[in-house]
Amino acid sequence: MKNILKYIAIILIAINMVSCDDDDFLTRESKDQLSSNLFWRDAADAKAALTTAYSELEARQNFWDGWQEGRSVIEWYRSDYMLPGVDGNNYAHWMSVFNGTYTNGHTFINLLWKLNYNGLNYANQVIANVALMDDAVISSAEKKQFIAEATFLRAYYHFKLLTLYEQIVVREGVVGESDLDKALSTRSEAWSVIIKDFKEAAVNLPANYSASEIGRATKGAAFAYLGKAYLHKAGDTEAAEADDYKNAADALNEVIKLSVYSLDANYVSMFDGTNQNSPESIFEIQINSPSAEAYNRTNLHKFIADPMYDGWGGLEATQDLLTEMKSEGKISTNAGYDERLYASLYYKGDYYNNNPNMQGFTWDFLANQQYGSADAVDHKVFLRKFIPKVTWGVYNDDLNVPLMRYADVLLMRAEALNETSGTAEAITLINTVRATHGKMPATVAVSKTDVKNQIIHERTMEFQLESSRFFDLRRWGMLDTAMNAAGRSLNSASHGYLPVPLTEVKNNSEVN
Amino acid sequence: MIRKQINLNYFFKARHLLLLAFFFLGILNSFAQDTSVKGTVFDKNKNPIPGVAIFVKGNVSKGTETDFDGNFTIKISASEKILIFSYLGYKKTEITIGNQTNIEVLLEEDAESLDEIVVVGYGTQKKSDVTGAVGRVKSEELNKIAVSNPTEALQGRVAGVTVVKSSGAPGSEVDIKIRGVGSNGNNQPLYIVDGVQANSYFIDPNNIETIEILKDVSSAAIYGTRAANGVVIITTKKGKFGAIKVDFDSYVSFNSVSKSYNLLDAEGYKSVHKQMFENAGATLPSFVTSPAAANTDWLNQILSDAIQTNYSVRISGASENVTYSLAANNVSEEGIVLGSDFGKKSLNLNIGFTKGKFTLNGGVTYAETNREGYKFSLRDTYHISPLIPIYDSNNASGYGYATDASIPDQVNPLAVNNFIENETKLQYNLFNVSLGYELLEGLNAKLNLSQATTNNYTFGFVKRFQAQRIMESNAEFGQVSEYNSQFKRTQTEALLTYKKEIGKHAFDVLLGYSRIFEPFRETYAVADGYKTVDGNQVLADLIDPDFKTINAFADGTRTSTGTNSEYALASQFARVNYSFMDRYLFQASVRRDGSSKFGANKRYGTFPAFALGWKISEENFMKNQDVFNSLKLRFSWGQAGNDSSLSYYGYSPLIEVGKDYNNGGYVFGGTATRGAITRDLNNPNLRWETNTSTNLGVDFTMLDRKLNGSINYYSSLTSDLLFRKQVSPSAGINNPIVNIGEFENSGVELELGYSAYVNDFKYSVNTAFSTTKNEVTNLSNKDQEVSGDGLKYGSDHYVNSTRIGYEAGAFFLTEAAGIFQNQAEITAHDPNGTLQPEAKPGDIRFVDQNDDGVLDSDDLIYAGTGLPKFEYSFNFNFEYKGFDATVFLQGVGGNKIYDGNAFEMQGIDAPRNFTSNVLNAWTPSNTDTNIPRAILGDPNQNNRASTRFLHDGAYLRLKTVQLGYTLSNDISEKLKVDRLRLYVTGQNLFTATSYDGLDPEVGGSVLSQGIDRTLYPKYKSVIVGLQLKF
Repeated sequence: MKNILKYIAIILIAINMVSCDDDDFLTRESKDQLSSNLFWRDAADAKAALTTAYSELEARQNFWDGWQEGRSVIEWYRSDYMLPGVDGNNYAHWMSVFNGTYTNGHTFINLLWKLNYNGLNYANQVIANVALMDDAVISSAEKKQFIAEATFLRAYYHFKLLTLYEQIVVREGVVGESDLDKALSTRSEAWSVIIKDFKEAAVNLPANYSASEIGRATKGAAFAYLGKAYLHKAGDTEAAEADDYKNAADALNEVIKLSVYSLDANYVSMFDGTNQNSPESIFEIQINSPSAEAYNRTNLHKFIADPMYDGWGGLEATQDLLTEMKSEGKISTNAGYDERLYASLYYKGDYYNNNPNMQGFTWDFLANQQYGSADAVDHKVFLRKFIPKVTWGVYNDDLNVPLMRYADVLLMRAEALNETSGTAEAITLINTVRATHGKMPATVAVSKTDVKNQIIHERTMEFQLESSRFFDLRRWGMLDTAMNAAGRSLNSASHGYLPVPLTEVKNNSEVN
Repeated sequence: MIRKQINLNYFFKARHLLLLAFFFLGILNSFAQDTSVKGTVFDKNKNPIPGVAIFVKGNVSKGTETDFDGNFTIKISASEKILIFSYLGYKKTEITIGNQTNIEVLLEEDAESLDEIVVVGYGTQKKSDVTGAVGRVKSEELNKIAVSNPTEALQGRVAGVTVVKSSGAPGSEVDIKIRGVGSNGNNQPLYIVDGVQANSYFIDPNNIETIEILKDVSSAAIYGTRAANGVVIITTKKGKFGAIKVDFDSYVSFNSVSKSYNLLDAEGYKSVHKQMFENAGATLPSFVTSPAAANTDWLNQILSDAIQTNYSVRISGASENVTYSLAANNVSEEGIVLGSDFGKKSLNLNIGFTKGKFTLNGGVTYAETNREGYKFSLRDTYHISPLIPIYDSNNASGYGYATDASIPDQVNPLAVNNFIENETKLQYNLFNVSLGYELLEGLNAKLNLSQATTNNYTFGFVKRFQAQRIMESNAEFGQVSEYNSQFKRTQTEALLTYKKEIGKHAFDVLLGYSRIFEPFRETYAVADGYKTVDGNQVLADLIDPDFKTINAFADGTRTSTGTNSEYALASQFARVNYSFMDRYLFQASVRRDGSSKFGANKRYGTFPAFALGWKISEENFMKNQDVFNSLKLRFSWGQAGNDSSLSYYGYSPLIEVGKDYNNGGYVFGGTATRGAITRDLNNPNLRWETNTSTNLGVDFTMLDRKLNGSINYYSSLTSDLLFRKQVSPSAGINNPIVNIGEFENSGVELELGYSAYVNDFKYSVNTAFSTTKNEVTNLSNKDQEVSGDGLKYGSDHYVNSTRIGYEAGAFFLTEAAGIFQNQAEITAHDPNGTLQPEAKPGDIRFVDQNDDGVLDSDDLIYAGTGLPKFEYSFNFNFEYKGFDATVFLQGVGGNKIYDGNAFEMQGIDAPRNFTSNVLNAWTPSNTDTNIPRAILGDPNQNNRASTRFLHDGAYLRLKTVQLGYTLSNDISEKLKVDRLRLYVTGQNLFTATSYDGLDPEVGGSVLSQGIDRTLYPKYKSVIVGLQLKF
C-alpha cells in the first residue's frame, strides 16, 4: 500500500507539472488575421476600415443578386415607364416586383436591406473606433476627415433604406450582443438622423480631392444629399414639415456656391464610359480600375440591353416614355429631339435607323440579325443609357455609375424654389440644364404649376435609369395616377414602400 | 435507364486478390501433415456447437473451428497430443488424443464466462458491471450491410441511435445522432478507434470487431468536452490465438435508382406553359407558339444503374507474446447520378507485444478516398426545358441551350459533365503506440501517443465552354483550381489504473492526463483563363485548352489563398469504480477540459458524473427463481461539454482584409484599394455548452438466457446552447455564435433479443424501439423564434422555426385548406377581399387562424416536426444446416417531411419544367384535383410555405434481406479452406411510406429538420458476396 501511495504521489506531481503550462498550450492566436482588439493601430488601419465602409454602396459587394439584378429590378422595374425585357418572364422574382405581387420574403427585398445595413455597421465601426484612437497614431485632420466620410456613408445607407422601405431600424452605434434586436424608428426619427449626419459630414468634408482619392465623399456630395433628403422628406406624408423645401433649396445652393461643379455639354459621355468622374459628377460609384490586381466589374449593360444589341434582355421601356421624351418635338439646336432622348432610349426612328448609331449598325440591320426580320421589334422601345460605346464581346465593362450629378442638384433646387415662391429662379435653372444637356430652347412655362410640370418632364428627360422616376412619383403623390395610366397594378398604399423583410421580422424580436 | 455490363475489371481485381489468398493458403498447407483427427462437439443436450475454437496445446498457431454441425477436422503431428476446445459460454476443455482419429467432445456450460467484456471509455468492463447505457453492435451485424462507411451500418441497430442517410451519393457521410438533438452546432458523436480519437469514415467496416456506443452522459463524461453527443467506440479486429488466418470478403452490388421524378415531356411542357400564360393574360412565349422539335428527357440522361464492389483481405494470428493483424480493403462505387463515383483503399496493421511487465501495442492505418461528385445542378436539371436538345451543332460547344431569351436559361447538365472536372482525394493516416507497464500488481501505467493526419487534395478544371445563354465567368474563360489542406491531430495521454479486490470490495481507479493538438493548414490556388486589360477580362493566350495545371494558365489570372490554424485541448480526468459483494455498483468520474477556442477567462470546464448499479439477481431472495438469469437496475447522472460549434478563434472577432469588390475593397482614383473590417460580433462572454443527463435502466436475461433485454429511460438538458443564430439583418453582421437557450431530450429505449433453436434450426429475433422527445425549453427571450433556412433564395419560404415549447426546427406553416371551386367560395372565405385579394377559382384557400382578416405570421400553425418521435427495427436471423437468412426492417414514425422541391416542381408560376402531375392542374373543367391552377406570377401565392407541401414522414424499410450458404465441412476440406460462405443480399428493396417524394429518409440541419430539397437520389441494391477463411 505504501508503494502504491508513493507511485500515485509521483504521478500526481508529474501531472501537475505538465498541467501548469496548459495556459500557454491553450493560448492560440490567428496566424494571418488581426483580432479586433489589436486593430485600429494607425491611420492606415482606419483608412482601410473606411474603404470597406464604401464597399457596400449600391449593394455592389453582392455583385450578381445585389448590384446587377437586385438594385436594377427594385429601382427600375417599379417605374411606370419601364417594362421587363424578354428575359424578365424567366424570373418569377423579377416579375413579382413588376407586378407588385412580391412578399416581404422576396430575395431582393432582403438583400438590399441586408447589404445597406452591412455598410452601416462598417461606417459605425469607423466612427466609433477612430474617435477612440490616440492622437499619437493618427493626426487630428485625418481623424476628422475619416469620421466625416463615415458619417456621410452612414447617412447615405440610412437614406437608401428609408427611401426603399416603409420603416427602418436606425443603427448609430457598433452593434453588440445586447442590441442585436432593435425596434423600428418612425420615419420622422429616421429622417432627423439622416439630416443630422449629412449636415455633420458637410462641415468636415473637403470640397475636392487629389486625383488618387477621387470617389470619396465631398462637401458637395453631403450638401447635395442633404438637399435630396429634405426634398424626399417634403414628399413623405408621414414626416413632411413646412420648411423642408426651403431647407432643400438652401442645402442645394451650398453645392452651387462651392463652384466646383459644372454641367457637362456631352450628356451621353457620362454614361458610356468615356467621361467618368466628369465635371458634373458629385458622387459616383467607382468601378473602373484598369489594374488587374483586383476584381471590379459590372455587366449592367448586358442586363439593360436587348439581345439585338448584345444584351440579355432584362429591360424595355414603354411607348409612353418615348412619346413623353419626344413631346417637345424636333426643336433642339441640332434640329432634332432633345439630345437626352438619343442618349437614353433605343427605338426605331431616323436617328438609329438612318444612321449606324448603335455599335456601328442600324436598327433594321440588328433587328434582322437577331429576329430574322427588320421590323420584328419596331413596336418596342429599348434603353440606350449605360451602354458602352462598343459592347460586342465586352462582357465586363468598367463603367462608373453616377449616383449624384450637378444636373440633379440644379433641378432639385429648381423644384424646391418653385415650391417656395422662387419660380423665376427655378426657370433659369431648368433652362441651364435644358440648354446644356438637351440642346433645347428655354422653356415656355411660367406659372408655378407649369414649371412643376416642366420639372417633371425634365426629370424624365434627364434621369432614365438613374433610380429617380419611381421615387419622384411617390413624393409628388403621383404614383397611383401614373401606374394607372401605365396599366400597372402597383399602388401607393401597397407598393409605395417595400415591406420590412421577413428575415428582419423573423430574427428581430423587437420587430413584428 | 441504361443497364450496364459489369466491368470486367472488377473481376480481374477479385481474381488478383483471390490468387494472393490462395498463395498464402499454399504456404500454410505445406506445414500440414501427419494424422488427421475428426470429431464433433456437443453440449449437454447433445446438440452440436458450431464455431468452437480448437487448438493444439503447445502449438497454438495450429487450430480450427467447428462447422454448423459441430464437426471439425484437424491435422496433428505425432508429438502433438492434446487439443484445447474453447467457446464463449462454455468451460475451456482439454482432450488428450492419444491414437484416436475420431472423437466426440462434450463442453460444459460456464455461466461466468457468458459475461461479455464491453469496451467503455479508457478501458473495459464486464457487461454485468456496466452502470451506464451502452449499446453494442458486433461485426456479424455490421457486415450484413454493404457500406463503405461503418457508421451507416449502425442504422436501426441500437435503440436511441438515429442514423440518417439523406444522400445517395457514393461515399457520402451519414448523419448520426445519439439520443436526439442535443446541440445546434455539431451533433456528431465522438469516435474513438482502438482508444484513439479517429475518423470513422476511413475505417474498413470489415475490419471492425465491435462498435460500442456510450449513450448516456455518465458513461461518456470521461471524454469531457467532446462527449456531449455521445461516444462511439470502435474496436478493430485483432489477431486471435492460433494459426495464421486469412479472411477474404468480397461483394459486388448492383445499384439501381429507387425512384426518380416523372417530369413533363415537350408536349406537356408546352401545354402547361400555355395554360400558365393564358391564365395570366400574358402574351404566349415563342417556345409555345413556335416550339422547337426537341423532346429531351434530361433525367434519363443523368441517372443510370451503377455497380459497387468491395474486397477485403485480413491476415491475422497470435502467439503467446505477439498478436498481429493486417487488413486491406478496396471499395469502388459508381454513382447513379452521372459523373459521380467513389473509391476507397485502406490498409490497417495492428500489432501487440508483451514482455514481462511491459506491453506494447501499435497500429498503423492508411486510407485514401477518391470522390467525384456530379458537377451540374440537380435543381437546374429538374427545371431545364425538354425543348432544349442535348446536342446542338450550331453552338460552339456542341451542346444545346436556350439561345432564345424567352426560354429559361438553365445550364445543360451533360455539357457541364463534359467540360467540368472536380474530384477530391483524401488521404488519412493514423499512427498509435501504447506502452504499458505494470508498476505493481493491479497498478498499471500507460502512455498513449497517436497522430492522425487527413490530407485533402481537390482538383477542379473547367474547359471553357458555353452551355447556357448567360455564362458564368469560369465557363467563359476556363479555370483550373487546386486545393490542398492538412488536418493533423496529435494526442498524448498518460493513464494510471489501479485494480484491487479486498474481500467483498472491488476497486478500479483511473487517473489521466491528456493533450490534443490540432493544427490545420490549407492552400488554394486558382487560375482563370482571362487577363484584365483596361479593366476588361479578355481571353488569355493558353498554349493548349486541355492542359490542366496552374502553370498551363500562366497567361491567365492566378490567385492563391491559404492559412494555418490551431486548436488545443488539455484535460485531466479521474474515475473510480467500486463494487460491493459484486452486486452494488458505484462509479464516479470527473474531467476538466481547457479549450483554446474560448477566451482566457472562460477556458476551463469541469464535467462530473456518477452512476449506481444493483445486480438484483445476485441477491439471496432471487436465488430460488428461474425466470431471470440476470437482472440489473442502473441509474446514472452526468455532464459533458461542447465547443465544436465554435471556430478556431471564436473568442475574438477577426479583421477581414480584401481588395476586391466582394471582400471589402473599393476603388479610389481608379485604383483598387484595400479594405479591412470585422464582420463578426464581438462576444467575449462565450462559454461552454453543457449537457446534463440522467439515465435509468434495467438489463435482464430470462428463460434460460434465450431472452435478453435492456430498457432505458433518459432525460437530458443542454444548457448555454452554442447557436449560430440568424440575427436580424439590420445588425449588419455575420450570423454569430451565441450561448442561447436550452434543449431538452427524453426518451425510452427498449432492446429485446430472443434466440433459440429447434434441432438444426436456429433462429433469433432482435428488436430495438426508441422514442425521442425533443423540446426547446428556453431561448434568450420567451417570444423568440429562431428560424431555419429560407428554402427560396435563403430569404423566403421559411418552414422551420425553433420556439420554446416545441421541437428544435419544428414546422410552422400557413394552413392550406383545399382549392376554391368558384367565386362564391372565395367571397365566403374572404368577404372583405383583404385575406387573399388576388384569389380566383382554382387557387388555394389559406386559413386565417385568428380571423383578423389578414394572412400573416400570426396565422402560422405548428404542423409537426421533422424529428421522428419513434424509431424501430426488427432483425430476424435463421440458420439451418449450411443455410442462413436475415431479414432486417427499420422504420421511423411521428415525423413530417416538407417537400422543398414541390413548390418549384409543382409551382406552375414561371417557365421551367415541372413534375407531370401538374397536367392535372385545376381548370374550370378539371376541378377534382389538388393541384391549383397554372398561373404566371402566382398572384395568390399558392406556392407559399404551407401545409400543402407537408407530408407524413413515417416509413418502414426492408433494409436488408440476405440469404447465405456456407459450404459443409467436407467440401471445405476438399477445397482446403476453413470456411466458405456465399450470399446474396437485397438492400433497400422496399419502403412502405405515404410520402410521394423520392425518399422519406431526409435529413436537415438542427434548425431546419425534415426538409427534402434537391437531394442526391437513392438507390436499391442487389448484392452478391463471398466470404472465405483459411
